[in-house]
Amino acid sequence: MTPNDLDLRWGLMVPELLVLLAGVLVLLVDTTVKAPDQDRRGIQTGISTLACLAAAGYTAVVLGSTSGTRTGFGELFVVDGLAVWFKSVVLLSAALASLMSERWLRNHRLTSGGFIALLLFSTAGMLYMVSAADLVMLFLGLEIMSIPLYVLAASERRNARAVEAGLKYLVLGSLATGFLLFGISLLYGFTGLMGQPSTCIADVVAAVLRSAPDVPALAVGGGILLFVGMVFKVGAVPFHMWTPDVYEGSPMSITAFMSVAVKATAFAAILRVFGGSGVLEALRLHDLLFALCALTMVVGNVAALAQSSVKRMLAWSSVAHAGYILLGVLAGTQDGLAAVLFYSLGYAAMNIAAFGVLVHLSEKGHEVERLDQLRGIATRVPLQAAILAVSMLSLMGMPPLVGFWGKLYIFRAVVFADFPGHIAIAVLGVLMSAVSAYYYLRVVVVSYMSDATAPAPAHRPSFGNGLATATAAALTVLIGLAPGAFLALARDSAESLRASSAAVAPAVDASTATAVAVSPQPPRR
Amino acid sequence: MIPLAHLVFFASVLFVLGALAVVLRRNVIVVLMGIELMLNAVNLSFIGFSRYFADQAGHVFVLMVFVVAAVEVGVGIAIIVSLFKLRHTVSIDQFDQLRN
Repeated sequence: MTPNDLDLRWGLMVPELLVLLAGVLVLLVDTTVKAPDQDRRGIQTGISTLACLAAAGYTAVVLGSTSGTRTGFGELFVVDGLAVWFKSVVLLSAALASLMSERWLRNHRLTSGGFIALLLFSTAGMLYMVSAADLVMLFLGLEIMSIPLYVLAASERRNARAVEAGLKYLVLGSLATGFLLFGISLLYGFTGLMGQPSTCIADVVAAVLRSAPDVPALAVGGGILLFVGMVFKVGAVPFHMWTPDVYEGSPMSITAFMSVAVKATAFAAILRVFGGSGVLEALRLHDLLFALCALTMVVGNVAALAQSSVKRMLAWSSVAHAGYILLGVLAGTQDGLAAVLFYSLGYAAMNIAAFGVLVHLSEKGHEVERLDQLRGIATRVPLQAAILAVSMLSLMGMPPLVGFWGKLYIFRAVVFADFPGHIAIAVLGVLMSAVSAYYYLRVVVVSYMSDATAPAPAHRPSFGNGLATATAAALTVLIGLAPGAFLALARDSAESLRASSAAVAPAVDASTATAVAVSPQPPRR
Repeated sequence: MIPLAHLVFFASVLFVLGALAVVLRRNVIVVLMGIELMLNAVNLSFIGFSRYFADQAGHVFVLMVFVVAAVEVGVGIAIIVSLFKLRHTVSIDQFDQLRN
């Protein structure tokens, strides 16, 4: 293979390179700039935010301007509507998370070089994972995303709880990686049995569809392991054990980043491998996913009811929201996939707004974690209390905020989809989001209707965190006011999935001519 | 040539043993070793398929898995060491501060 065959289209990889370059630059600032820690933190978070925004702008404007699928780097790297959408969401979350981090780092008197650089490297991993056209590329992206996050979760080295969170994340995350990898190796073997060993996602999907409806156990096993590895990162029940502990122990800005960006990335990967081509049905994963959705919504919401820690409540609520989003994957229709994209963006906005307020209220030694620490904040910090209320109402699904539209699109897609039990699971979803009203409204009630018990700690607001919170809150409201435009965008972006599965279909038809006893109609939606 | 079924069976058994070590053992160091065992089962299955189908790609994946496994263990040991400094234990059962 000559270098020309590799098809090095660097233009497609600009966002990743920009983020990686910014990470290196941030590390260099630590060694070259002689300034007080305070100024250096400002410079580093500034570089990180600007780089993420520039990369988001390049993704949305340059890469997003031409529709259609572009591949490069030896068919490993793909840029299509799906990648552009999720890259924008991830980069936006990373920009807001770096803005939020400045205050936490200042509170804990930590130097920010390593912290911000790891945040950027993790972001780069997410971007690679979202653009993976090959299962090995997907695995590498997943690891580049996860390993910095293990360190970030444990970044408060003197705090046993934080390090414990890092350890739990590492052990369970590596377990999931093992499942994912073993799944990939089995699928590699399966494609070999089908004639051409390959780990290219399109080839694997085509091979599975070709062998339908009698998919060999090798492929089913590989598919299930791969699916479990991805669902783990999403935090769906029963692979959610790590979520509350890790979210509680990690720094607040990292918790926000994990709950939003890791989830979005994992959903992008799930959609890329299992979305819209009928692989789920062919591998008989549909019933498994149905059970996962139901369990995730019920367990997430019921467990959140019992929490007295706001951070832990938000962790369980993120499990519940993973259940709602998975419903869109379960529906599998074009509407369902578009709803997954829309919900990922909306969830990013409202969750970052909620965590931003918690960061704002936290001081060194006075981390806001318990619910009763929110008592009477409406009189002390009215603006922040209002933002917290808006984000809670949006998470609950109150119209006209973005959370309402996200749930509406998801449930509508499920109702109009056709698989056994689709009405039942939509009803379950609506019931569970009614249950969630209790724990979301409790936060609003506590902050507005009770008086403060303890005197407020001395307060030093942060410009960065304020900006991040305000941006996220503004997005929550604005997307809620004009959901149609964003849904149309999401629909266009999800179109690339159908285009790529259509590209698979002719290969399927051609091969069925030669294959014996294979259904000529691949199950496609 | 070793039959494919033997290969898949052997790799699967090794993988399950590794996963069991991660879930059941109480010593964090042994848990990390369990993770290594799982990843090596994956390597074995990649190499086996690669030889069986005479496809070079499988060999390359093994190298990638090696690199990632090394990084993961590096980070894992670092976290375990800093937790050991704080708690003076490597038993998973003692790491229970994150519970309500």
